[in-house]
Amino acid sequence: MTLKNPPRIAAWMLEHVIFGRKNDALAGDLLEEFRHGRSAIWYWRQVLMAIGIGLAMVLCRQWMAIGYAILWAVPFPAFMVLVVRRVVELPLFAQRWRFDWPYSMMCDLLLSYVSVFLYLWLALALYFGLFSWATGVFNLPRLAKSLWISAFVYVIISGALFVLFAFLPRHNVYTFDVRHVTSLQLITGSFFWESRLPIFLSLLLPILMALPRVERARKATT
Amino acid sequence: MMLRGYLGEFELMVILTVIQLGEDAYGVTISRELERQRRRDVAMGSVYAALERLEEKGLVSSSMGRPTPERGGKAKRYFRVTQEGLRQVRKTRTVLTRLWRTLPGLTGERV
Repeated sequence: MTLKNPPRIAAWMLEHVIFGRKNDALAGDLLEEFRHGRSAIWYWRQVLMAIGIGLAMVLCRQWMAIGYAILWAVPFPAFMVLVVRRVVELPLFAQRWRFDWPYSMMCDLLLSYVSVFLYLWLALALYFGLFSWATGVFNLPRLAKSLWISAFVYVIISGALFVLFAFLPRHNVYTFDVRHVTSLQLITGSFFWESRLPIFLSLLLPILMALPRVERARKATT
Repeated sequence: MMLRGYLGEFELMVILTVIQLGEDAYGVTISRELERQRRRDVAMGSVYAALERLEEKGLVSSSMGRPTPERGGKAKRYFRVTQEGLRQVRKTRTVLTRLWRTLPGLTGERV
């Protein structure tokens, strides 16, 4: 007897698109029901609902990490314009303009990445410090892991966005002059999303992947 | 550790079904019984979400069965109610019964 197989794409989604902990028992249960006569539409509906419920659970459980990443991503353009630009205007950094292209550009790029990494690492170190203080769990290797994950994620996402925008026709995000934007607009303005998104993801992913979470600490203490 | 005093509506339905099914309580049987009692479709993902919440609260425990070819090599996850779960169900029933007694007009079909 050949066993009936569920819709291939839905089964793939159940394996790979599910949020939170991978649930083999759920996949087996859905397959068992499908082979007992449930329709393909039923299977699809169950898979989509499982994905939605999984996402909602992750958002509910990780609200602290998500909120923290948003809190640091929002003022990031202000940090770049108000802090980094001021630093660049110092006589020490003004030296870089004496270099010819492409060395001047390399200096700019290096300064930009160093500024971003310092911003990300400060945020992660603070999160780690607050977490350690609140729970008494102090795990330095995890902090180190989170730092390199954040740098890696930032390079990948900012690089991908750069390539995407380079190929997008008539992209006009950078047509305004930041000198005419107020400090408040730097924080509240929605037009900096492409610089905030990499920061948000570069903070959220290392927190979720490397740093111990509050729920885990709760379990460990009970 | 208990995070909350009383069980939610769906959590209560799930935990009662787990008690009713005894040794045979796993995703499929729990969902089928819930569908039979509620007379409407149940999302298996929501059943697992409720069971995970109950397990985190220490009200149910789970163990894995053997993987079978009919289930694509995936094992069943069996659920059992803990002593704390039973205590919590009794407590919830007491409170709900007390509340229903204060509303005699809502018994039967009359409103």
